[in-house]
Amino acid sequence: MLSSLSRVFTEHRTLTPRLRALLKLYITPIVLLGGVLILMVYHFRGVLTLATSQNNAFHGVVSYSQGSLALSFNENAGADRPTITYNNRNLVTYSEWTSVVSADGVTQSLWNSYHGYNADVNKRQVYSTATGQNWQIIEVVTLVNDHTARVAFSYVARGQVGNPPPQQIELDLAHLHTTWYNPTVSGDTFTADVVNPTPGQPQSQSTTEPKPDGVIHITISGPAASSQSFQIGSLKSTAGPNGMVSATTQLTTRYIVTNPTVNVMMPLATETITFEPGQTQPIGPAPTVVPAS
Amino acid sequence: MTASAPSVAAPAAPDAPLPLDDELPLAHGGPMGQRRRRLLWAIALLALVLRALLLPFGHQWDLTVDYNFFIDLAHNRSPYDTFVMLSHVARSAGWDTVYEYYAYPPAPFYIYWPLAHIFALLHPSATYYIALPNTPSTPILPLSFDVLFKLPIWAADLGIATLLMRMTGTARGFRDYLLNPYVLLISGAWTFDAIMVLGMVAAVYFVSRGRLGWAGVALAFGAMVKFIPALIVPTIVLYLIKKQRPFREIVTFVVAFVVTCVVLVGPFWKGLIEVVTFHAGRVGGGMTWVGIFASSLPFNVMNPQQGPMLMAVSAFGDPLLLIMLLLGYWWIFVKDMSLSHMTLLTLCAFFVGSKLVNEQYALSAIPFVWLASYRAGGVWRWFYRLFWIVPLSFTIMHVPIDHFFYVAYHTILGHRADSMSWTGATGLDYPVVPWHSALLDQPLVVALGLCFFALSLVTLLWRPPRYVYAYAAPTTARPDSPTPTPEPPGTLSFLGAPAGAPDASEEVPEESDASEADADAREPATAPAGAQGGHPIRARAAQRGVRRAKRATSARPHMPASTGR
Repeated sequence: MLSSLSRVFTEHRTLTPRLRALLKLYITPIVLLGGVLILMVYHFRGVLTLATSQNNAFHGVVSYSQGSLALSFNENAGADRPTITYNNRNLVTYSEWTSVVSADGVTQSLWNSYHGYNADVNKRQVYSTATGQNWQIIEVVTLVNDHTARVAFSYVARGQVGNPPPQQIELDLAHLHTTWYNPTVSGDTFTADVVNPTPGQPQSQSTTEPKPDGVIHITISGPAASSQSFQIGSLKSTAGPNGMVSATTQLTTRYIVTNPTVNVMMPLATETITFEPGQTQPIGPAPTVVPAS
Repeated sequence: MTASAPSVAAPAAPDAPLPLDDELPLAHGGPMGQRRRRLLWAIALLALVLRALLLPFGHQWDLTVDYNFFIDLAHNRSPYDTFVMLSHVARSAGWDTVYEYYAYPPAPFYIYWPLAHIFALLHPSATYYIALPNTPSTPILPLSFDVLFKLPIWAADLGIATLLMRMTGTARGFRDYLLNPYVLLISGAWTFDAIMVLGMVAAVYFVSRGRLGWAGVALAFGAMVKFIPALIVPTIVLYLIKKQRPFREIVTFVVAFVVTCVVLVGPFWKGLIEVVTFHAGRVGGGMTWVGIFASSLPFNVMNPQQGPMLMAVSAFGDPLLLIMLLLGYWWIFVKDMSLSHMTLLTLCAFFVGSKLVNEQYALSAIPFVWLASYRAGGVWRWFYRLFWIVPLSFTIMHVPIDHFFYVAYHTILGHRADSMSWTGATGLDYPVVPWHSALLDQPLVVALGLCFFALSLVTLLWRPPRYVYAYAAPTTARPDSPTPTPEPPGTLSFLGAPAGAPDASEEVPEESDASEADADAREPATAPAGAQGGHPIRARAAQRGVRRAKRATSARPHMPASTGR
């Protein structure tokens, strides 16, 4: 082989005939070796992907952080879906245990449905889908930057022969927190002061009202969003650091779709959560109590 | 190096470069007769009318994706980002492991970006329509979208037909390609594969003309529309090596290809990687042997494990494809054949080795198998016919054909067709219709898929046609005509007859036996090899050609005999 190779180069020929001769000599082993190498590379990639999926499934929680802001999504329970925190201080928690979906009047807890998940590590996104008999609610949670997170909801009205699509879908999403001071709704935005218990001291034993961690804004947008979408629940008046304040532990957003397009993913609403650390709202009149339905 | 009339001087040395323009007619350009011009206009007009009639029809899923693709471009959003996002949604929602969205290279972004913005101007409230996979959900598409989307495809079809005409010197390629039923279906009612094919055909044409830089650019353009033309890069390199061309020509071609690809990929390289990953992970099926595992045939013993088995078989698809391609390249390198035939066999190697061959992939082979059928005749005519009949039949059964009506129904009926989004009724939902027959549907689909696989394999292994370069200058008198004058260079001859002959531009070459004999007679009948100063192979070919012309009356006007490389 070496002598034939040297002969190829020592004979006076132009380059392309030499190339041709070389190829004729070596193309067969190249084909075989190339195939083996390719098999090896692909096998490794497949094993790596499988290991990553197994690790995610074991832990059951998907978390991302950007600066001091973090979100975590619990796949194995109906709470913390997601939870948004700032410096490990809770800002808001989405609870599917207390969220409700209604299709043509048939109501059920959002948690009581089939669930599927996926995640995009590069874009810091979590995808969660709840599937009912003839509907799907798709939730996409994105950690946008170090002070903003976004939760986008879409729906699918499913229909097939023998299982007609729904004519109306209602979604009531429960947002929970220990205490929000001065909750207000202005147009499409909910604003409140975020208060968390002093670490290591139960709130019931606190002698002073805790200082707010900052101000949270939840802005809704989308085809099903309107100023009537917000419902502040469990409102009460309480003593704050600067006097009497209103407080709540729950916010519900309601979205309604009528005559949905069948078998098409349609946007429902997007909730953008923005946090201003260290800020507080100016003290104003206590808001009108709107009982949660 | 620019092409010139075939050299009549013997090569100075065994390794001297061989000419590239063997496959082309003798001369190019020149005046066209009025009758010929009218014929071409009539063919083009008929092709346009047929395509216009097919405007409201389309593949329900692919056209919906193309519509969303338009919305992406209109909003200056990368379709790759939408693809990634929807794939995550699909996995979480349990629709599928991936959402089959725009999964091609980025050249169509540049082609369709202005057209998408025109569409957005006409329809400012147009928004996404994200249909669930495997459902008949279809948007109501305005005709303006159909026109804007299909316009580049029609132009590409015209370009391919024109190139076939230039490569053969007759209008037959123009007619056969534009009016081919399979081409009409793919280009008129489906997808933009014709733009990719234009790049491939143009590359082969430019190589034949010696314009290797332009060949690289054209092939890169095609490869950046869909990936298949990238397979032809080694083919052309091997062809240039076989032709003993200067190394700088190979470098020119490769550099032009790479630079054009890099420019076109531009900022979309990350999305391109996502797309390549998607294709690597796809399960197999379509017109391949893997389709057996994708079917629900009663005798498919793997049926209970169909999903995992299909995925396991498909996992071997990528390395198998590369191995098959390498074998294909070896085959075309060691055998003597023309560049267009090398291209055809490369595509056949792809069809044989790929785990997934969708119905529209066969369009890439149509111009090249047509060239083989035109130049060599005989069994190659049957190869050409099968190469469009089998995929067309597969499309009719597999899609099936009545699903092309969904888009038309929604366009014409508007919201009155909404119930079709969940009933899927087309009006042809009867068991007597083969694709709705529980007994016939799957077996026919599998059989047609295996048929195409076998056709590709047989084409790959069949002895390459060896045809003479019948485009040498005429040097002998025609037996029944006045003394001919040699064709001046630059004169287009559709007929194979000398340009000085009376009414030469008005004759129809394929119907004229006399012109075939004329073409044969132009080759020296008794000159010994090399005596005319020409290539020795051509002289031998000429001798055989004259003998054959005397025996047969059905030889083609430009292909009187068989020999060559």
